[in-house]
Amino acid sequence: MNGATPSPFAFLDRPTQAPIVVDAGIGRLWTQDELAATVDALAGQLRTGRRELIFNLCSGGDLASIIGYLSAVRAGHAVAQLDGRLPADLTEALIARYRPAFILHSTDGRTVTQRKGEPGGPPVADDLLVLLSTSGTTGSPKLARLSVGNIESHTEQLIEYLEIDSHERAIQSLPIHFSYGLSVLNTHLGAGATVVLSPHSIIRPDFWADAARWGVTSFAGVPYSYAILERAGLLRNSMPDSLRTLTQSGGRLAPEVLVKLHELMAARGGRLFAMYGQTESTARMSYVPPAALPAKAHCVGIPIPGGRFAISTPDGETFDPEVEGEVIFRGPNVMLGYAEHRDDLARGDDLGGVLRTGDIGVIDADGFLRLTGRAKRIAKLFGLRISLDEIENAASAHGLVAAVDGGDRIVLWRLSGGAPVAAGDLAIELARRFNLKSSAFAVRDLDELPLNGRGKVDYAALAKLHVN
Amino acid sequence: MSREIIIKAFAVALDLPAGTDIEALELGVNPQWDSIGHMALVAELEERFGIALEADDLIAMNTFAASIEILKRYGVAL
Repeated sequence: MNGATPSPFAFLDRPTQAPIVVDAGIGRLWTQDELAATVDALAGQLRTGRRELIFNLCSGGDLASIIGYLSAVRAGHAVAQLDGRLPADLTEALIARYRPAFILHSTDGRTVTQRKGEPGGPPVADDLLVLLSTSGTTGSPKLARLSVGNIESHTEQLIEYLEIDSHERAIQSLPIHFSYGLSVLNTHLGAGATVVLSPHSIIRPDFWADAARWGVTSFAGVPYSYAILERAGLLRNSMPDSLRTLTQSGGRLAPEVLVKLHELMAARGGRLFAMYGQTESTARMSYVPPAALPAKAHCVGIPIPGGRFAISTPDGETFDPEVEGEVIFRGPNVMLGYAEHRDDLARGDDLGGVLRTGDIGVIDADGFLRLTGRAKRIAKLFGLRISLDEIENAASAHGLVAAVDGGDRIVLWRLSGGAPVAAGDLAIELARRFNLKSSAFAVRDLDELPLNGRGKVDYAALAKLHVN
Repeated sequence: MSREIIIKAFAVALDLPAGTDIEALELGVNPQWDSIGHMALVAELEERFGIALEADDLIAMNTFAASIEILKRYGVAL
């Protein structure tokens, strides 16, 4: 690191001939100076003499999405990283609302196509760098505003605890319009390391063949990715010897699954990092150090370097152990605030480094945060406040279950076919555990659980199903 | 008959627009048939035919034609 702050963009000023990106689809290895030259060429076309907003419509974690992102930053603009697979009408509505100067997209995943929008729109704050959607692929206009400082300090925080050095090669398994996928890219660019881009889905053996061929050292996945890989036996059978680090974020993984993955990695001298964060914290807030597993598998971990947690109670904030309340996070990676429309891009720092997470939790005596629920995911039954997430966690031993407030009962949606336990038995088990009547639960089977763009259960869609 | 059911399962599980050439689809090539879509498809086929696919078959099921061949081995009559 040579003492310098590991910015993801530093290589653009001082590119070397070190490898930076592998385009595994065509077997091309890009060096830093090659990528910097390509980025500079596009950045030149995007400069207008003032700060603008660029829309980068990403088709995933592909080369064009990366070049678009870096070029927008290199040109001195703010860049909204958006899902390029949104329906066209939703994208056009976002364009009308935010009035970007240029819209970047790609049809082949390698070359960036640009379309002129509306250069010279309302002002963009000097320190605003990245805008990310907080709601997956719904096309919601609500975006998190991330500053240059957010991106650079978060890159440094992650590099520190994940111990990413220039020898690392991450496979870019998540799209870079998600905070998690973008953090994988930023940390590896910042560490002078390499990202490997595979055109294949993680469920195809070709993906793992790419990982083996290019000596990939780490893989990042959301809970659904690990559920798929587990079902297909791919981690156990196809993980290359070079792969030493698995990271997991983007939702809770059942402790049983987490321990299994930890043991799989420990047996081959590797590591599993279970992590917790939100787009509002640039990506991450905490992680479970591998040495703390399996004992702390039910926790989301300790704060990342430079961050800290407090618990909000009616009597104020506390650091006392085993007190339940809303989790408050402080750190240099807390976003500036939200944007709902173009005029918000001129705003300054609304949050002052303090994020109310909306998650309910307790800090244990060892300083590990344990989540007990989500502030808004509470059902009221018989006058009791019942955390739907706790219900889900309790049911997770029997497979993926999504719990929804059904008014007079809790509706448990699960996948048909794969359910190892009868609906009635599940209701009885949960009733016993939570001291309720089994009639408080309605178990419903679905052919598939509706997911949002981040691979998380889409509760809004489930709520509608129940009404119908 | 079963062929029709398989086509229907693909259309439903992968949320395919009308008029999609299902027989030309390939896992990971068509945006609808990504890893999440694949698991939905597996669940749909297992449900419709009352079978449980082995991990290896689940991976090998990467085109419509390959899916047909694999389902035959599970006794799905075509």
